[in-house]
Amino acid sequence: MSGNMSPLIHLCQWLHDSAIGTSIRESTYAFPIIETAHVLGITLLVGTIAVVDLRLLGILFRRERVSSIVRQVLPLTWSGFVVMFVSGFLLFWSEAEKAYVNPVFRIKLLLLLLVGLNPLIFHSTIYRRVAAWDDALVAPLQARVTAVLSLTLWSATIVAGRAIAYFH
Amino acid sequence: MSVLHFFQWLSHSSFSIYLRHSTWGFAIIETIHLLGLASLGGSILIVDLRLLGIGLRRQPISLVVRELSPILWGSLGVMLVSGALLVLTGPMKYYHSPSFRLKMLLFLLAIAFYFSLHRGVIKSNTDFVPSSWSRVAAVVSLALWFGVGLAGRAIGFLGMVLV
Repeated sequence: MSGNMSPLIHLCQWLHDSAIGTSIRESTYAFPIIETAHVLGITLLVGTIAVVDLRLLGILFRRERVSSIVRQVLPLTWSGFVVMFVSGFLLFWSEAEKAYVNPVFRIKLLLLLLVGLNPLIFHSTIYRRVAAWDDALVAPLQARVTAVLSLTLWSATIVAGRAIAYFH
Repeated sequence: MSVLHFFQWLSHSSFSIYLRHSTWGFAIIETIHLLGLASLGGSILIVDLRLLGIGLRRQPISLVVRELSPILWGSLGVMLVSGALLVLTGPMKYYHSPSFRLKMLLFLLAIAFYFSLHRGVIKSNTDFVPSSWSRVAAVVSLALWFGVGLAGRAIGFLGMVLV
């Protein structure tokens, strides 16, 4: 290994070679079982996020208050997030070295960063004034842009996640 | 025509041969199948969790079901079409896969359950508090759909292990 490599590759190699990483990789069933949990996490995380997005766009639950939908769905979204994050990290752990050099994995990380920033911006700007448009059948433009971005970025994240395996 | 003959006929069709030899055919169809799964699984989860008293509790059960039905059926359509195309990428592989047979059995059960008992139980609920039968129906539905997903995952995985 050359000396000018980023410290990140060393971290990835260390994870890859660690006892947990190795046992997930070498077990027959661990990887596909964790992967199944990861996909189920998607349905909960993205499914609940999509309900909020579609409410903002005026497609679902038009007569229900936006804040009511957001508040009730949020605990489920977080549960899905925990399942996704833990299972995703375990999958990465078992093949960190391969993931590091996989271009699609890098694209997925970038997408995850964007898909995480989107709700942060939404909640700290237009959603702060939700009381003013809570009953609106269709949310204001900025909220609708957030919703379209969210649906697009999440779809792209799922596509990239699946494509990781095709670029091994 | 027996099922075996049907699958043999499928595998000799020019479209199946075309899909089998295309580099990205399987990958693209499978990705669409996965996007359909996210949307179908999401809508089933939200409906069944509502029946269990989790999630959109302030909205009446009938409203949650009515709002999510178009998404549920639309994504089921996407899954059926992409799933049929996946089978076309290698009909004999699927014909001989025990996981695929199990998946089709569970899928038929899940659909039959959803159309009959699940739907009947939902219609009997008009208020905000789900009945005990609704909760049972939600658990059975979640278990059946989970089984479909798990068997689906096993097709690709056990295919590699057993061969």
